[in-house]
Amino acid sequence: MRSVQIALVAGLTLVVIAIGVTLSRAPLSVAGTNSIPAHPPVGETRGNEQSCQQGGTVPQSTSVIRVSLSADVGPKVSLRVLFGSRVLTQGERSAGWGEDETVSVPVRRVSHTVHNTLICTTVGPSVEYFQIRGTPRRAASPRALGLRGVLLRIEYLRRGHKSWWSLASSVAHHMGFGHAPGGAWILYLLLALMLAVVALASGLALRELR
Amino acid sequence: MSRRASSKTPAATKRTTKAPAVGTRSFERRRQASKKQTVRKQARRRRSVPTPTLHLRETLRRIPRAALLCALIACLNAACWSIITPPFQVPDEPAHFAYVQQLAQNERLPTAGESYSAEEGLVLQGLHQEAVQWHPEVHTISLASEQHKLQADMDERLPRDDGQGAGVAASQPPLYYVLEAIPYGLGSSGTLLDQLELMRLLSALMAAVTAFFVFLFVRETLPSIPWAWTVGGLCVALAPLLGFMSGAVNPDAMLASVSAATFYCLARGFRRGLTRNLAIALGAVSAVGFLTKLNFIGLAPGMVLGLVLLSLRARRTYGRAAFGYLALALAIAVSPVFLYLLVNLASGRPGLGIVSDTVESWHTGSVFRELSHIWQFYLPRLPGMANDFPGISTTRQIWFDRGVGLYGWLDTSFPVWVDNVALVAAGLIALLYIRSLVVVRAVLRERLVEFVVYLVMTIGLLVLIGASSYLNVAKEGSGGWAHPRYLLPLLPLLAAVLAMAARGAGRRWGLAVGALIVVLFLGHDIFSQLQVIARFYG
Repeated sequence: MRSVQIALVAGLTLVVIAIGVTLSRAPLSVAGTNSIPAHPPVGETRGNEQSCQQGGTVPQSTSVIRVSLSADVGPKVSLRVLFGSRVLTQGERSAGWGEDETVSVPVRRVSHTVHNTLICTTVGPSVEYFQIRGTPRRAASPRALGLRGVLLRIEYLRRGHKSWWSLASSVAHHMGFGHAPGGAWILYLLLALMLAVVALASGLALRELR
Repeated sequence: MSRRASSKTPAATKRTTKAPAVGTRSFERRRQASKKQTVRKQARRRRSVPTPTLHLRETLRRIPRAALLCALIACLNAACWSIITPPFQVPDEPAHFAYVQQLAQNERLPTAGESYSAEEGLVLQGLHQEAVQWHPEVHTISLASEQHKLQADMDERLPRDDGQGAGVAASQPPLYYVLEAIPYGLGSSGTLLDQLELMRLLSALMAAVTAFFVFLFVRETLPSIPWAWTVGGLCVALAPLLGFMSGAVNPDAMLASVSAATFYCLARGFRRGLTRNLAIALGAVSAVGFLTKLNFIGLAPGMVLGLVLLSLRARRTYGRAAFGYLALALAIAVSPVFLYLLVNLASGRPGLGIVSDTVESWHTGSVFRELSHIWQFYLPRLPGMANDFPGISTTRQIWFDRGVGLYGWLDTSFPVWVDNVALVAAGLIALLYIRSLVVVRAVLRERLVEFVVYLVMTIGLLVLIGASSYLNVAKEGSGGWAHPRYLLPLLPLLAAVLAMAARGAGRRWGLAVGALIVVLFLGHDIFSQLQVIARFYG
């Protein structure tokens, strides 16, 4: 019984700490783009292709790059951002992402803003033809264009300055829209329900696990 | 020797020896007296038959409180998910809602077109549903002006009965939608979003049913470790995937409940023997399953095997009547399938919806090619197989990673490092489970038949989903059928595995490990909800 109490308290404490740490971080936000419009899908490929294009300005502290590829079961995507012949940053997203209209690739954090970059995108073999959104480099059918024939929309993401804690009231306000019942109070209802779930589950575990 | 004869007490034997000889007057008097006494006893028994209310109360009293609490937790959790997930941001929810609306408003089954009612169309537009779906970078409406416009649109009371189709949902059987028509009707004086929330709450109640039967299933399969029942029941009640799907309008919520009830009935049969009532229950549950979602057909081969094996066992007790129970269960189970088949054929649709497609898929290319695809859909490719999933490990990157967390329109996932951490936790649980299997291998051998039945049910479901994927790839070249929610019918087995894993930690640590597994699921649930909040409202 005592071991169950210790396990529960330790586990719940860890969860609370993890929530605190997570919410003290700032959410990712778009810091810059390469100004290519993303809509509509113009190319299709089954992967195993590489394409390089102008990446424009990569903002300081960029840690995720979002690329306009769309798949149900996405292939492995690797990115390399070059400044001249120097690799500024790189990263990869393993296969299996989706179903999305974009893919976010975590990259090594960029220490300072760099202009006139070149970004190379490599996609691995794919289960299906997936769509490429952006601007075609020439007039051709989607499959003929493939990855090389399309200028991809690139978005550079970095952590903002405000933590999730400081955004809580805005999130609560936002949650009240487009719902029934509406209003920011549903966040409190949600908290009450979730606390009830935690209390009931902990109480039941303490009572039965002996 | 019969059991009754062998259980005679010495006193009874003595009385028998003192009895008068057969044929004498005294013997006749005693026989008459005994007969009258039996009739009186029977009459008394008839008079003392409990009223249905008393019987129900007695049955309810026998339900473990822990099972009811697990059900309550599952319901509250799913209710949380119903609030968190924005309307129509769950796979196919617009289509499922349209099905209910057309059924309720027009009193007929919808067609496969995607022409929803004017009201639903306007609400989808007002919510920017298409712009948000599959675009993790786009949040739900966040301006007061957008909310006012949406409210004004809903207050306009546009037609609800002009919908012509329910898209992908149209091929599904109607039972779930008939039930959802009740909250739809209750909320008819409110807005469409009021109706949707009420419908989602009915799905949340179904999560309660799932957790309840999962608890009872673990109780039947692991009768000697009562604390493990709670571990299994709680983990399922807190499973974020169950909460997510049961916090939405989607027949997967009901399919999970019915499947859990089926597993429970079978486990009860294997532990306590097949009775007439259990056979009726199994047949009824299966009929409900067939009428809920076609994926239930995947469980059917295993369920039929289970019934046959149970009736063979029951033959020792009930003689040929046991086969009568089998026939009864099958007749009840299959009756709605025939009805559904007839309705579909009469309306010119494939007889059994996706199952017809699956059967059809056997004619699309070679059977071995299809088997190879189904194998690779779940497991690493074997030598000699053509590579159907190049560049991807389906086991890890589709089923495991997506199982860890994929919400919204499958567009909301955790960062990759979370999948890696989850893999470590899952590996530890798997090791403990294997240890537990080794420890109880003798019991395992005794109950091998029961495990084979569950295995056949699992394989049946996996093959059905894999065959649908094969057909989808062959027809459309898309690989998008890999949704972990399709595995929700197997939740009872997951619960049993988790309970066994806790036991695998041994007498000293088992309880603590059980508590930690519960906290792990609780943490997973909370972070899944936070992830969805961040994606849609951040």
